[in-house]
Amino acid sequence: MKNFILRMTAALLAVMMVVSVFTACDGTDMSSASQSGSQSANSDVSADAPADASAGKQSTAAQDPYTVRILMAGDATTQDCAEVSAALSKITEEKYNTTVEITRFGFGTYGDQVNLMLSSGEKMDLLPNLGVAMLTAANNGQILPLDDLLQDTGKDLLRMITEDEWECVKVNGEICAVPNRKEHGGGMGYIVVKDILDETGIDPASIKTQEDMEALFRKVKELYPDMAPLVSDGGSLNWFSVRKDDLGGDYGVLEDALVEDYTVVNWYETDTYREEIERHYRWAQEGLILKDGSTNSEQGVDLLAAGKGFAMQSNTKPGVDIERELLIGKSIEVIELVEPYAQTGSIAGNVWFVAYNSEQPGRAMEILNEIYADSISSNLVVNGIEGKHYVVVDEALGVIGYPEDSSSSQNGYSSLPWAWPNELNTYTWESSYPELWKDTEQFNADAAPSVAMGFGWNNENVLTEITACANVLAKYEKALACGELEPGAAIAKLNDELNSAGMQRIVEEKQEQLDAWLAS
Amino acid sequence: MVGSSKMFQIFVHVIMILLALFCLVPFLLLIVSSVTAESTLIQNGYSFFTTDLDFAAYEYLLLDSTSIVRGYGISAVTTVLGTVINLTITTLFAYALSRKDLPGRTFISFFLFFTMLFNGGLVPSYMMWTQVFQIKNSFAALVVPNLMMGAFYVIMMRTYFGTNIPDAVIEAGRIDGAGEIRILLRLVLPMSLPILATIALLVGLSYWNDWLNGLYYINDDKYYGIQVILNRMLMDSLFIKNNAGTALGSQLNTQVPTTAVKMAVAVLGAVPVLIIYPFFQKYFVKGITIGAVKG
Amino acid sequence: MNEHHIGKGKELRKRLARYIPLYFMLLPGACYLIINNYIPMGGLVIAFKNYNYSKGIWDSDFVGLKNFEFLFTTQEAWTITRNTLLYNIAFIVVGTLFAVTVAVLLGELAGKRVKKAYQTVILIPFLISIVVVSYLAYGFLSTNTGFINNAIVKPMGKEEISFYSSPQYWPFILVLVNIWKGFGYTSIMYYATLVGIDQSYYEAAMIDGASRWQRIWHITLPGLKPTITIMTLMSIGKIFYSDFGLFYQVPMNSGPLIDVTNTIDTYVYRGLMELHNIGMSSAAGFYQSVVGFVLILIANFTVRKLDSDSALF
Repeated sequence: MKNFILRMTAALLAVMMVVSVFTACDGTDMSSASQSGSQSANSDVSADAPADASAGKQSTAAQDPYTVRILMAGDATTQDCAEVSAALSKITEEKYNTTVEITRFGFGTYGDQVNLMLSSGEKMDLLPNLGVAMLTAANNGQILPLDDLLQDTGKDLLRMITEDEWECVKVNGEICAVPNRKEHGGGMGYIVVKDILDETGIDPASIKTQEDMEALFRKVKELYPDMAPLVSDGGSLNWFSVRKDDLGGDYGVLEDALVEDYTVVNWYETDTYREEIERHYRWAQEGLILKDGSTNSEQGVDLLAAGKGFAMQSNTKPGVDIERELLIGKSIEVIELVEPYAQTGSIAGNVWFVAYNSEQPGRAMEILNEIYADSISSNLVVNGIEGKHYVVVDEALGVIGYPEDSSSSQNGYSSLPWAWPNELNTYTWESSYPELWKDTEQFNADAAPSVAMGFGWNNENVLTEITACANVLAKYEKALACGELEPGAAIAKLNDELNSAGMQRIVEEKQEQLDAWLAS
Repeated sequence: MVGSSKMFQIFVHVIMILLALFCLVPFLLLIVSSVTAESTLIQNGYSFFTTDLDFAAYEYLLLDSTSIVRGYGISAVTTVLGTVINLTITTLFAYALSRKDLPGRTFISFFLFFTMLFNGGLVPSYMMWTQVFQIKNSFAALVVPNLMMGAFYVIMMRTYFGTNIPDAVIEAGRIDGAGEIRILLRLVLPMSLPILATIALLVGLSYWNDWLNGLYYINDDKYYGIQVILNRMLMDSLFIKNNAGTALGSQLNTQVPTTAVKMAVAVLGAVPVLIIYPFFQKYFVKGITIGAVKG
Repeated sequence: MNEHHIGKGKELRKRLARYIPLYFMLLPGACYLIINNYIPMGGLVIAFKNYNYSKGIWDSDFVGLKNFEFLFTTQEAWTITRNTLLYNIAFIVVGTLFAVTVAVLLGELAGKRVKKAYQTVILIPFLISIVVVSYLAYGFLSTNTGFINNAIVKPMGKEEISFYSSPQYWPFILVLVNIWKGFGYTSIMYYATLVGIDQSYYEAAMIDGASRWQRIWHITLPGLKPTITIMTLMSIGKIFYSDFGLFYQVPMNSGPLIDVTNTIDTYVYRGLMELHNIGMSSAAGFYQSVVGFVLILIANFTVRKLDSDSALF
């Protein structure tokens, strides 16, 4: 028997080794090909650049032809993407002799597909961070550092994005992404169904604290005994009206983003957290929170639309009321309890990358620059083709709507302004309101920046601990937030297990990095 | 069946009816939910009786009827083609492996079975199929990866050949001077209809239900099979749910399935199989008696 | 001496001539297995590397067993292993019993049409995707609107049961759901084998006056033994794997249930959901494969000793 196993294993190892040799050849071929590709791209760009300086766009039109491939999420048919790509290519070909190819995947599958494509080195140039976290991507070699590229072909980007904002998208001191131009920051609060709010007779302007909300919920419960006023959103009730700075995610936070205290803490051990949970527990006992909230698989907006709830947690920003109204189909009121503030994550939340295997990163950056800076290109990629995917309703105000014979579900190229590099220079939809982008610019200017704005952290050394903590939190977090567990005992247990899972190590590591960043 | 008694038949029927209900009742729930108004579903949960009959879910799905019909078409062709190829490869392999005197039989069995245990993972497979074989966005991508042969089916068929085809039959064929191919085609296969039908059914099911190949290797919507279309929709709604209560989640607008649509999706995927299945069942007939060969 | 060699040479050629057709039959399958399964197996090295996309598989840094740490250095390690093992053992035992019984019963049934009808109906659960099954389960188990609470528990005057916060019910629920979903499919396998059993055995037994139970016990079941053994062996090879949909979606990813429903696969998913670390998830797969491999070798060896026909290899 031993003989048998030995012979078997030897035979198999032999097969595997032979086979690995073949794949090894392929592997090194692929990686060296992409390396030489990017090297020649750099030499291309540097050869062009000096001549370009004064001649402007003219000489770039004489470059070798190249196709920039853009990956994006959202529903769109292959046909429509091809049409939009063709329309954009007309513009870019003239200017840079570069054509563009847009491919879109559904949200649910985008992350998987993009990660796979990156691993196999399939041609791509530009992609947003929708399934590819910036930190992971930078550490894994999925994306390229952009400092040089920006200097060469991203001049408008450098001009339009501030130094502070660039700080937020750096990893290990290198700029790794281009932040989207959209709302940067947010407030926290609730959205409520207006009709029911009116019935209670309480004036929304008078609601300033959680205690006020509590009184409101009680009133609603009186009027509608069978309805739980506050609903969870797909099982989550985690969007507390607090002002913490997540310091790049993965646990370890600053308890108050606007206070100059740079102590990194375990959020789940803070007094703020305990207060919120105790409050939710009380509310749940009184029937103010949806029963079995943590296992609820419906989205908050659907529950509100069906009349099964009165309020849900929400961030606040210009236009959030209209956005939600569209989804809920009822008039809503936004109640803001925490004024808008911004943290690093607000800016690094939606960004664009240049893929590591882009054959001509300089060109990719050129196109990204174009889409960001030029409103015609921006509108094309965001909204599609005029006449086909939208019609202009008001030229002066820049408002568009769906063409006569179609509706949102039939649109072959769904409009996702926030996901593209610059939404602020595109049209606004008639379902929204015309001043939206102006208000957003103002909003960004007004939002108070966190004291740790610009700090980005690197989680490489604590991956094991993060995995373990994620599993512990899966056990308690949602149930606690929905008020289903008795806080005293449960929070203690949670933190016990978190500490065994290595939470302290994560906090220490983050503190170290934060201190180092502060010192520099 | 030889020698059945009334009592026993009734006993079996009772059990089978209970089992059938066990399987049907949830399915009924599924169907009823798919034709219930969305707001009722959210208010009252799923119920067997509905007061608000509403075909909105099916309207939504079949509205874009071209892609659904096309999806069924792609799935059908893929399934038939894949099953035929798979069955051929599998039968040949299983037959050869079932011959006890084949030199190296143990090694080959191990070689086969080992593939069930160790798996390099999606990334290397994907790299190989897309870079080396360049099948991305082609019809081959639906048929070739993973499904064209499976150790499980080979082993099942080999076991069947081993236990249900007596050596005497093979010997008789050999004595008559027939080569292995002839023995296989003329003697063994006619005796193997049940297992052939079974494996064809199981392989067909795996092709029909598969949506992973379409997910990973295709992004040109003209190659989407029905399960790919339906599952993409489901995954989109799961994505929304998993990101609920986050900054990303708040940005995703709900152009995604409602509850009723999720139910309708499941019904649309299952029904074609249920229609075709009875056609396979006629092959599950008792084999011919081979008593004559004995002695 | 020479004659002996020449004789042997002829023998060998004759043997080969006989077996060459068989080797040709093996060729298409073997080629496919090498391409589809063995070549990608080289990628298992990812489990031992810090995978960097720019460097590719072969040039990424080798990190030894570091990627395996997260599976063992956690207090969950014992729980997830225990859960995975126990559930799979329950699935194998109960599932096989159920499927074999159903196959035998179907075999004893008279009437072709009604037999086909039953067979079709019991396949339905298999065709419903596990995600949808989780919604259906919710329709039965939900606290406020679920069927069980509304139609059974409350009319009996009892307090409604909050299933999604009560871990004690879930081992039974999950086994039930797994059986429900699979028995129609697995019984097909057993039924096809059963149908291929030589009818003359039954005729001879009836002539000898054997009762129905005796016929089942002495002919049908032994006829199914090789199939049962093989299916069980293959399940043992997968004993460290679990159906993600069953253990993550059906319990609605509910926190309080996690200690009872967390398996190796769900643990890996929960841990790596944000991190997307290919090396670590590959390490988990490797670990599961190795354990299955060892167990199968042991199990197969045992079966070989007892009844070599039923062994896998």
